[in-house]
Amino acid sequence: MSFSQAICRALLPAVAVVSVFHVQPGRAESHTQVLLFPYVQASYLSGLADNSGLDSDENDFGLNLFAALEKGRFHFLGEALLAKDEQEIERLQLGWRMGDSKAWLGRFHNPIGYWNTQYHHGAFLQTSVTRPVIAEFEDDGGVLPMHLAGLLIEGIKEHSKSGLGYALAIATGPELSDELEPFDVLSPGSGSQDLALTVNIYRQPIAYGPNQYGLFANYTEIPATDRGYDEIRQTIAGGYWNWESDPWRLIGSAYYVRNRLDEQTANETDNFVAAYIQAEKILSDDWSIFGRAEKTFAGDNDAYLALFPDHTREKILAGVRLVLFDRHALTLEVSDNRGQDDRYRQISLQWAAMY
Amino acid sequence: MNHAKRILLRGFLCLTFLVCSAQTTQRSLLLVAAGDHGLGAVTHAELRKVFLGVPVTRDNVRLKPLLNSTDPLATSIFLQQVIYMSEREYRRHLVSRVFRFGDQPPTEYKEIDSLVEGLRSTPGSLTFMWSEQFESYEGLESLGVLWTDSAE
Repeated sequence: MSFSQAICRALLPAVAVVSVFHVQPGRAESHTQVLLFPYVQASYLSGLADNSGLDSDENDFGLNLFAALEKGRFHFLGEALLAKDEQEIERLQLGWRMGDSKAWLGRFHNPIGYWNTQYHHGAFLQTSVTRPVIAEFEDDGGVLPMHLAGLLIEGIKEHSKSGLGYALAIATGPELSDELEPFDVLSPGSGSQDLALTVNIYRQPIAYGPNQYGLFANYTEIPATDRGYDEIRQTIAGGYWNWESDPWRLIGSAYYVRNRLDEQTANETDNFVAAYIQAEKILSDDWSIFGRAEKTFAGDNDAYLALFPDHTREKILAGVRLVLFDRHALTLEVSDNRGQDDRYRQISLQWAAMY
Repeated sequence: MNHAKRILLRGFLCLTFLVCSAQTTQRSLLLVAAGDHGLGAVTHAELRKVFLGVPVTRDNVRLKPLLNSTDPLATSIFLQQVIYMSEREYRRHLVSRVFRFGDQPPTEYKEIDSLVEGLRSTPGSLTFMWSEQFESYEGLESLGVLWTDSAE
């Protein structure tokens, strides 16, 4: 499929839904939001093992296109990533608002942890160039399901000044072939995704404020016949927090992951723990600095992680970000990484913007 | 009336004058709607939700926040006193809500005349403005005092 064909396919569902919303008769007025997140990124990796699947030079560019429509209680939300090596509809959600809650049908970001539902694919929104390894997207070597397709119900209940938020997903998760492959909106018949359930409960000391801490759990059945297993039953539990007090911000999360890998005659169970903490400080209106430490605590022979040979076990990074004209950001990030067989350094430079 | 009583009376009158003068020049930040808004009272929690982009409906009318950016001090005080955020945090939070939930952010106005016109022409709209700005326009109604400059 050519790049232009891929773009057309990625945009088609969004255009169709937008058209339906605009011709739908009714008194409720409609509102439209469109956001564009272009980015260009270059990375250099040194010290890679000879058998590493990573490239020493990694360059990427793309445009993340986001559109939201609201008509009365109905919502539509779509996000398409048109990048150098990937053209995909990342989110396509039709929603219904019920008071302070919303029910969504479609493909959405799995509400596990904090990072995955805060930044989505908008590079400009996150301070660092890279995502934490444990929250990495499936097609970037991620080991957990970051996209689901099905039903998502989420909302916040206010109690006094504080808020109790929740997200509940009943959906299909990814299949494991070369990488985890979630439901493809453009090829709904492809793949053999199975059940995924996620619950995320969090508290906001001030309702709708930025500070929050929460707990989450996820269960996913991952078909993996291409990798020699009938199915992988993955159970995840964890907690997270986001604390902000201008100019400081601290984000942290921990995941306990248990995998039961089923073969026809036997099964194997392994588990690991992954955690990260990121600190950010805004120095002025333009400049910010940040650092992150992350680690995966797993056995050397963890059967599940062995299916992801490029998974980074440890990472420590630091970076600086310059915001120009409110909507452009230049970010430099340097990291020291330990994979399963190597230890390498990475330096990344990214321009990202939001329109 | 003896001399002492006269001094006391003069002192009382002077004090009363000073208090009245201080009250009339006191600067307040007001919550304002169009005169025919029919919205009733808006609670602090509702006001905060509305300006954070959270949908709030009253009698099938969606409350619409108009962000007054005509005076950086007024904006800053409003965000601190009502939203509990710095302007930087607030703007980041709005984008985050749009990107996550598809919510509508407040419409922003940098000219006071446009803001008042927006208020008059948009059913369910709310904004905040200084008391002297409010007094210079007709057809507006104050729904309450959000903040008073106690230093004056």
